Amino acid sequence: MELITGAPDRTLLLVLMATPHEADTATTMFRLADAALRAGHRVTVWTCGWATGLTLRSLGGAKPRNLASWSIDYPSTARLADDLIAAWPDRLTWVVCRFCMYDRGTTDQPDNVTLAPSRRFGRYLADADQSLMMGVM
Amino acid sequence: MITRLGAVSTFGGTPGEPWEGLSALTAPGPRYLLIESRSPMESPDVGAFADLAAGLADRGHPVDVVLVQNAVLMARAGAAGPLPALVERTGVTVHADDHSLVTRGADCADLIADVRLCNAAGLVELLLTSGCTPIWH
Repeated sequence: MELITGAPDRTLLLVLMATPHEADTATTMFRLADAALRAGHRVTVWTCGWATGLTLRSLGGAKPRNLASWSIDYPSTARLADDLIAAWPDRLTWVVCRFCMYDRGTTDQPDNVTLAPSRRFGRYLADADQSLMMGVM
Repeated sequence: MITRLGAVSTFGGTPGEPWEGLSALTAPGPRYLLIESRSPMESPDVGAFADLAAGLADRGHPVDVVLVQNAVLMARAGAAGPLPALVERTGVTVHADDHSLVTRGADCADLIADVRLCNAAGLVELLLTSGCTPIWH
């Protein structure tokens, strides 16, 4: 088995489809992106369907307070994405599918994400060394 | 597979001689990374996904099955599901995500024998292994 651990700088495309909140798929995606970036790879996250809402500015920086853990600040997915992009500006590209965004009204997107037409998906796929489709549309 | 190849060989070439495509079809193919995110209680497709892993291994493909999210629940010792039979298959390696286990209150030390613990970095390493074809369920 040939591992590429000694040869970083590969591009991993993570495609998050459909409803990320029905399970902890968004958490898994964030963990994979973080681990790949720390290992020296490039990551492109393509969000489709309702996953386009993960980066909504209207989510703010924190989730609503948890009554069971009143003093803990739980970051919103928008803040997690923003922090990850800020930490790896040259290695992480966060793409929001423009069709899905308009279709679902998730248009309040921050400036540090890329809005792309759905037809551009093929280009990101071709540019990636590996891709993983997460979730079912 | 051999039966199918035998049938194909009758469609072209000289009868009795090996079909020229035989080596390509019988050569070690890609290694597969099957990522299961659901438990058998969520979806009957979990059993079919395990069957897919077994079928690929039977055809000579190395298969890594990584359990994430709710799928890790079937990695617990004594849990019901298709895992005990799958881990005994030659060519199949089963991994369980440590974060998913911990966040579900499962004991990482009490798993079905031969199930390996992995983390996000390990999953990224598997994803970026040369020739790896990942499938998410």
